[in-house]
Amino acid sequence: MTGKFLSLKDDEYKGFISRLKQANEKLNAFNFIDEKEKNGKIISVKDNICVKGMPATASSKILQGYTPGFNATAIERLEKAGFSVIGKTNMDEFGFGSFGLNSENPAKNPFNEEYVAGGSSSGSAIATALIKEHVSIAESTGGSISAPASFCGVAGLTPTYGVISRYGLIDYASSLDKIGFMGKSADNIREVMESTIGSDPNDTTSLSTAISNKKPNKLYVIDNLMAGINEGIKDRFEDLLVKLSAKGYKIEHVKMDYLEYSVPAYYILSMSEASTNLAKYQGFKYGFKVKDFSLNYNEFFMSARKQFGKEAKRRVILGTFIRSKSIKQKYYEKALAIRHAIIGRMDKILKDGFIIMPTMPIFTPKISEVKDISPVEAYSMDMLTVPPNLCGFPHLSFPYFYEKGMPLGAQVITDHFNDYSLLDFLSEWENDFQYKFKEEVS
Amino acid sequence: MEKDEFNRLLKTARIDLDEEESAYIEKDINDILRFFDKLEDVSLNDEELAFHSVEIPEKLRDDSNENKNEIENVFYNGENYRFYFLGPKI
Repeated sequence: MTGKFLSLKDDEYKGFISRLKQANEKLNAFNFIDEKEKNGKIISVKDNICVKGMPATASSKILQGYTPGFNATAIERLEKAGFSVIGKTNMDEFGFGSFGLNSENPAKNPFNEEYVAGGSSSGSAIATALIKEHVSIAESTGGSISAPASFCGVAGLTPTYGVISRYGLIDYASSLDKIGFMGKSADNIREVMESTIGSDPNDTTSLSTAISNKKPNKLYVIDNLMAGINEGIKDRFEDLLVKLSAKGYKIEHVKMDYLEYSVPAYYILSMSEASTNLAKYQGFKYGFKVKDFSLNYNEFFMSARKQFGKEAKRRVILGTFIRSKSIKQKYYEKALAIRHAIIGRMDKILKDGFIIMPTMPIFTPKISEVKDISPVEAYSMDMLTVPPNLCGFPHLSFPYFYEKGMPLGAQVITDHFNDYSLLDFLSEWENDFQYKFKEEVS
Repeated sequence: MEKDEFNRLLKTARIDLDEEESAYIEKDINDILRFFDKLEDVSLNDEELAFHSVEIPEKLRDDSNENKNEIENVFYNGENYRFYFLGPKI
């Protein structure tokens, strides 16, 4: 099936850019909009994925001024398939956040500007909601596609780890980072995904395994994961299960061990990896430059790293601590064992069914409600998006309800390399579901 | 984590905080470590360690000499003067 994308004629382009910039002033969807005319099918790209000649900042001050001289493999493949990048989308700094607020220009929800857009791929979700027939290339480490997709009412697909090359992705946590997609149509997401998959000599963790589409008719609900979810969300989710049951899906309730440890395990692994990945920002190669060459190496390095935002500093400090030789076993190795235990348990039930759950445990919050919450409270909001991300299972967040005008999302998870079954599920869902958007830029 | 240990950690992580930042980040770090300590409740001695979520076949590249325009790449985006790349003193 071929998707339908926005393509603009030369005389339409200027007007489109002007309307997009106007919308961007209100919502902060883009860090950069390219005014050069484009010939291909329009897509946008998260600001931590390199596009030749466009700034790549990952919304960090330390990368201000960095312009890559090469394309990420995913972008190279998309350009060959006839896609054109319109701009780079806003995000939480380096992907560190679930609400889109860890950026110099906090992202705002396209349905109501007082509400969060979700993170970390906040701008990708807003751009997808805003632009006609749009797909945005996003990235997820612990839920950065599903969370904003849910809050902004679009579909978000996080593929199996390794299916899309990470070459050219500004890394956060290498064993968890996955490039993925947001869209408003299964056909569009499928076309973009088909253009990007496959092994890449520049990324030794990329895989060429064939992607299947075995769509089961059983949906598993993990009861112990549902504890701690807002009661209103639970009620709407029950209504969704009734609808899916009427469509012929068999619903089965199960319990699964170790899931309550998935969030701390995820943060231990991701912070450890982030603290080493961010060591490359030293003030003389990428982005921000320290000009005082009289400083010794440590002073120079520390001076550059003052540019990190507070969440980045927290994660570098904690990651450094967790990797210390004396406590590696207590945190890091335990987290790896938990990841292994959860993969085994999820894998077993994903052999004959999808797992289904709400995407987020709360309704879309107002910016004022979450901008000052503690880090532990913020991390706990990832309780539903972390398990599939920690274990590399492909998953899809799809909108299913509008509560007081704001969208609600649920997510389905499937077995490794069965990604296309999720798009078949979305295709089927779209037959009866009407996406709602306040405005579309075209 | 005590104040002294926190200060030593900042040095190792090469993060310089002003007084105000230091106060709230130290508190955050201790709160987050208490959250991580939840893992002490679980015993997984016989469980394998999953460094990756899917099996990644070992891929090794042959050693070969290729012209990769490395000098151009090194200078790209960096401060440089003629044939030199400017960096801090070691």
